[in-house]
Amino acid sequence: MNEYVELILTAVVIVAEALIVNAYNNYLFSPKYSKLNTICAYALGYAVLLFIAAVFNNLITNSIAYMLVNLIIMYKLYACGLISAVFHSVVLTAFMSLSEVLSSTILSVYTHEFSSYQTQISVFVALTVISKMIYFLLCIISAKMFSPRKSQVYENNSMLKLCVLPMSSIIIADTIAYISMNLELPMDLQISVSVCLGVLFFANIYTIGIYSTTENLNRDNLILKLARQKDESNAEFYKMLQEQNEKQRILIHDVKNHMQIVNSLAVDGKTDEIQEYITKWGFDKAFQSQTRYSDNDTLNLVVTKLSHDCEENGIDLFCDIREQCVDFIDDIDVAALFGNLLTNAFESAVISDEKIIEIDIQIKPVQKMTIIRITNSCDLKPTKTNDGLFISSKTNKGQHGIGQKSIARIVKKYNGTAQSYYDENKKQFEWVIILPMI
Amino acid sequence: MNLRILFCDDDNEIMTSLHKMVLEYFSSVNQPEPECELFNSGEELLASGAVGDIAFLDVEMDGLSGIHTGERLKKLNPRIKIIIVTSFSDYLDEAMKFHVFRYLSKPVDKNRLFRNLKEALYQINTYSKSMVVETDCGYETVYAEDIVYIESCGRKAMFHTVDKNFVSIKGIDYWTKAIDIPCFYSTNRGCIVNMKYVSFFNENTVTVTCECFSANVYIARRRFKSFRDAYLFYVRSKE
Repeated sequence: MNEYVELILTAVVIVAEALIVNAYNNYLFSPKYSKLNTICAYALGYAVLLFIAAVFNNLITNSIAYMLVNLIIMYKLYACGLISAVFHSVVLTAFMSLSEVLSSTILSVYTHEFSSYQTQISVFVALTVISKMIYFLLCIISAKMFSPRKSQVYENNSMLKLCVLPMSSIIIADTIAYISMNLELPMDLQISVSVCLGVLFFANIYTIGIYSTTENLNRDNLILKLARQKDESNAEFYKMLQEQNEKQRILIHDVKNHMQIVNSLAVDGKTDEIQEYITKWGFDKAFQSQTRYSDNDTLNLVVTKLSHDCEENGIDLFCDIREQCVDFIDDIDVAALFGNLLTNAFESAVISDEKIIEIDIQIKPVQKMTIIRITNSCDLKPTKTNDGLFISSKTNKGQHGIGQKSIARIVKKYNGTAQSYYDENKKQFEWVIILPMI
Repeated sequence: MNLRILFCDDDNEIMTSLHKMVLEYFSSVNQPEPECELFNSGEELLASGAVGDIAFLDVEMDGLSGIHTGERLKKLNPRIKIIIVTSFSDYLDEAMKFHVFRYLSKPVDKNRLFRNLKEALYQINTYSKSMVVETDCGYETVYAEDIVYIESCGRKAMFHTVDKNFVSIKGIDYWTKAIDIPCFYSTNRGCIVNMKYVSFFNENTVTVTCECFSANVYIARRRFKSFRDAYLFYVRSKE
């Protein structure tokens, strides 16, 4: 292999390394500059590495240069602290060295003198592909481990499952190296095999890169969706607050009127009339305390909101919620679980002839168990999908099943059991959820 | 023996209307009319020494409240089904603390009353049944709802109840066929559990817990799904 070919191959290897490091950095950190500026900076940094590799061709010098270039790239191009940049550049350099050692170890299984075969292009390329694939694998695992974007809302390990691609490629490259060492391949065949290995290598990086981008997009979309839901909840809350303020304003106005009447009766000395008036006043709906449905504040709020909606839409609401029955559930989960259950119940009952919603939450203190039953009128028979979910009558088709998935997620989180039933005779839909009290 | 229902409310009009609705229910389901006793205060009810299967108690009464009357009745007869009737939301918290079967809001909704009566009668007619078990020493009388589980003991069967254990001279095969009450389920060839006491279950084990003890029984893998369905059905029929 002449030195020009070697230089070209080294340049290709350096481009591959730049792509891997770029994918690694993009997964872990947010870029500070535009794509074009970032590409230029990478090109410059790795051109320096190529120059050092061509001039010195020394392992220690190459490693130090590699570490420094990556350190500068991370620190300058990404939102990354100095300590983090030092740590990750050391990690990348260590991975690079480890991958070189491992690839040599794999090929030394066939023969201890495999280095003598490296003059063959196909063996050299196969060795390089194995080494870079191992490096790529280590970078994927490390990026997954150190990713700051881990979140409870989106946890997906498909990226790790995709590691089967570089692993298979390592086996293919290893087999080609073995064949090349045992058979004297003609030069044109060696070049063809080398090109194939190169294509395989870049296809790996491309596929996983595309997958990583898609995964990030999905995660960002989900976060956006959740943020939008939060905004909608806030808007709902402010609307309720506004209504409450309006009711309070009317109440103050009424109190003033009542006091004026009492005052004028007092001036005339009509004590019996005052007594009668105050008694009547006490029966005014506005002066009666609001029903408390549960001793849990969050659940009480959710049910109170439902009771307002039911009152406005002529739905009969029955509640039997026992004491301390949901205290072991986080407030956020109480809101999500009952929010979804009761929203679905309301949406179904409101379009049914017999409008009934029944909330029944019982507690078995000795068995440490809470039993939730939500029953609602449901004229339209819901359809059960393959995954056991019921398709509701929501007008927004895109929202189908999201509520049920949320219910299922919370039930699973608390090691519970849930089942839904539809009674065709009574035209009633029912959820039964059993949750062990943790 | 006829069913006995107690009513206690200081408002005669409401009590009479509730009484009529209850009789209407029994007539609608072709059941014999129950023996009903009506009282205007908790003190009057307790002084009469009346023992009932179901009691409708108004929360707010002069003197002894419905909650306290219910507590005393429950001490006299732990199997009584107490239904609290209330129109005051402030009393709701207290009613929830007390172990009532159901509570009804005034004005009483007929459909809801009928549903609650149906559930109460179902429980009285099934779970509160007493059974006589022959042992080596004689005969033991036990309420079905007090049996936690029955397990095979050689050719005999060991009854684990909430307050005692005893051995029936008849084997588990006999009891598997003889106990025709929906709350009992045979988890494997050698064991029958009362679903009332199930506190946990998975594909291998069912845990039964009462106030005095807890026990794990093995469930045959092929019976798990039908057990889960039966348990959910039991829960739906209401505790």
